[in-house]
Amino acid sequence: MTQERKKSIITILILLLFSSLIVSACSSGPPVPQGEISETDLKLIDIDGFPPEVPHELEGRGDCLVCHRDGEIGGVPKTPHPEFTTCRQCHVLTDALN
Amino acid sequence: MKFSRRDFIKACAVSTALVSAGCSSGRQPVQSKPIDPTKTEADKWVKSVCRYCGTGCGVMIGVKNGKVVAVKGDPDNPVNKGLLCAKGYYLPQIMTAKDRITKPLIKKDGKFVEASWDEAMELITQRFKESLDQYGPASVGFYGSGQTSVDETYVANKLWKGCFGSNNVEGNPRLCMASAVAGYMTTFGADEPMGTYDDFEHCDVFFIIGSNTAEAHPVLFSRIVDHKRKNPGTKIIIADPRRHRSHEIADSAIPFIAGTDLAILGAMAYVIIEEGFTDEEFIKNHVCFSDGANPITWEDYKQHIKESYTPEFASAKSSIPVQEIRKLARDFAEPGKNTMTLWCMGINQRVAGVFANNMIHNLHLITGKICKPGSTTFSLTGQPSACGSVREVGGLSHLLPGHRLVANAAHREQIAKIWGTDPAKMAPAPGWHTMELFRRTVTGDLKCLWVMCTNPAHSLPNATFYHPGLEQTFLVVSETYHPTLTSKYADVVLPAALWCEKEGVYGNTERRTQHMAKAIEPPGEARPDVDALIDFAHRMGYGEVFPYKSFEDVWNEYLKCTTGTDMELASYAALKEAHGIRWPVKDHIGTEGTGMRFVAPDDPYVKEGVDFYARPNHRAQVFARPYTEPAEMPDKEYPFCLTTGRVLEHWHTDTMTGKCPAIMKAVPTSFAEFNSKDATQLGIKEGDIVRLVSRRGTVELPVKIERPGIPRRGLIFATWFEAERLVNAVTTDAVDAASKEPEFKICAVRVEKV
Ligand code: SF4
Repeated sequence: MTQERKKSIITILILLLFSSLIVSACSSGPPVPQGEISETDLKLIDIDGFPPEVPHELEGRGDCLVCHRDGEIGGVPKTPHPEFTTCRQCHVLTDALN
Repeated sequence: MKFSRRDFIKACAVSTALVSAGCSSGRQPVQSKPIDPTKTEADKWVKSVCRYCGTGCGVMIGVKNGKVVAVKGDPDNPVNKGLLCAKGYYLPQIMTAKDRITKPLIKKDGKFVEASWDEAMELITQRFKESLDQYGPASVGFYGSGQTSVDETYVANKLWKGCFGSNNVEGNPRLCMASAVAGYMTTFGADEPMGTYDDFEHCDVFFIIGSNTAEAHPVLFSRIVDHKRKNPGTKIIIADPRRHRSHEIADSAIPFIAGTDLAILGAMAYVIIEEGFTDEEFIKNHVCFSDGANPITWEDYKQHIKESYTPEFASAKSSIPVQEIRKLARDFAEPGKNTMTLWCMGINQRVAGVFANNMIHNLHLITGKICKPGSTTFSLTGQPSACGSVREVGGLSHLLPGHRLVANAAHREQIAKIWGTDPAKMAPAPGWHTMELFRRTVTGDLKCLWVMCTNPAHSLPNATFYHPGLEQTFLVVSETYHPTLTSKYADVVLPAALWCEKEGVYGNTERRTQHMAKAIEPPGEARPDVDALIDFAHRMGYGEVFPYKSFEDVWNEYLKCTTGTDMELASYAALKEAHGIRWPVKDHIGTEGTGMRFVAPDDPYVKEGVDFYARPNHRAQVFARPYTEPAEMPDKEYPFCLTTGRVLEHWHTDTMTGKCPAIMKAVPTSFAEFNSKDATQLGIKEGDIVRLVSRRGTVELPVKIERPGIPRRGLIFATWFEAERLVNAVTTDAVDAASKEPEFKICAVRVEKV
């Protein structure tokens, strides 16, 4: 099997995993409006200490929420505030720029 | 085979797109962390303002056992509504750094030795007195900062201009804001933006030019992101020779050749006129025209644009295709849409900085996209109080408090009366602007200089040229940290209280004046700069006009300087209570302030509609400005263009951000960022060290290829925060003829492998 083919298969597997997520996500919980940040949400951001650092390289992973929105992939931390999308405004990288 | 993380992420990205498409409203409710009061260990929370950028985020400072233990966004401050950026959160770490100075230092035989305040102040007094006696008022200077508190610049200004008779009072806003000041002054007759941050939430088209908002003004950027998310039709156009973090939300990008932006701005006017996007009614009622020396007509202006700025000309200069220039102009001028232009140092730090500012205002004036919610021309300010503590206080060599001018006899008279000083003592001619002031240290004309709250040996362009001048001048440096590149050259270093170790007031980009309460005591013998200045005034024999016992005393006197001007400020009591108040505050009454300036009913000085009352004819001026290129464009010998700028994590010369371990881990050194094609051609790769050589100096920097941003071909981007890698040894000190602001943003370099 060529490398490209192997890659495609893994990609498809991941897509399948996500499709199951679509189903489960759609079937549970009331619909929530996307992207609204209410005044109360803002008041609830309570930072004790500093915002957690990003302990890994980015390697093109510009959109942190791909993994951290739900935290399903590989047990990565789930953000308590997915409505904020400019993550690196607060979370600094520990070594990615080196 | 290796399925790299990159591949994984690509796959995930596709999946996420599917998730959103398939089930756009199926996310679980937001689970924000609730506040647990028992977890918050602070003894008290004190209302203040972030120490860093011109956004002016409100903060709450958590104090325990006399130490700052936490900083949070102030949820009640309308600027940031509880948000901060990384720099803000890490503020506690700048307070306790090891290199804080806690005792005055005097240089003896080339070495710094600790001294008492009395000894240090006596030495300063003696040297200033000798200089004034022997060489006259012009021989003593003050160089302040957009990071001082209002009272500090106010007192220094009064002492130098009112008592010594020296107008050699300058500050680092000359290096960043002077072109914006001159732009607002010439076009509207009054400094500072007429719009506010509220306009962001009403804007349909953001035209961002010469600003990496995402990194230089992060919280403002997140307000734009939030607005676009709620209003997906919002257009964001970024004109910049470098692709940077702000482009993440851009709908279109205009990556022009660095230094050719005047051609783009002129050609936008061309298309607007040719395709009929002008607002004739607004022009008839509120606009007049000038060629820079004399009034001209609307027809003359159109003729000028037609002759000087065809889209074809702009395209040839800038490399942007004609069709894209036309589309840009149409997007900007689309009828029925609100358009805001945001700009920062890419426009201001230029030899044609004032022209560029005027040309931005022109676009808004001829389309009538101004003085409406969401339609305005908004210059972003770099420092927390460049507006409040320098522009408004008059801390530049040509200014007096309350937007008054040194050269105006009536203004001198008015201010001397409030100051209780002799108007005859004040010099009628402006003093030396910043670059001239430092040049005079080299020529030896300036004998004594007091530098407060800034680091010019690091931040001046062509910096190394001025180092011998700093060495030979009697130099007083009021600083929080030592050594810095500047304090190294000092004869006396005074330990300054930092941020919340003193009471103060900052004024941000949107005319918002904000009170900062004192939260903790300064360490050791460090004192607020204003105490040192008042002490100095008394020792110099001017004690009776400096009778202040408190911050409030200084504020109340300063307030009188603003009475009846276009920038009346809020009372001390109101400021303490409010989360910032935007001026003008009519008769100093209340906490409400003014939203949009020059427009009724927001602006209390306008009866009806729009009134540019700061101009004698009540009309804003559209200027016909000629195409002007940078002082130094690339050539055979120096084939690359170098531009400098920020990363989100660091600030200015990193005297503060360099104290935060997490920030230093994230961005440990300055770097030079290349386009990959240029890198290939030069045979350099990521991590190599290169030497950048200009006509003035050299600097060695580690190479980054197309990260964090992507400069267009022929452009190198470098950060300049690190003292050991002094990028300002390379930059040019050529200045704008009107604003005297240097052209940090463009100089020619060649690249050598090391
Ligand atoms: S955006 Fe500016 S003012 Fe706000 S927290 Fe960041 S540095 Fe401070």
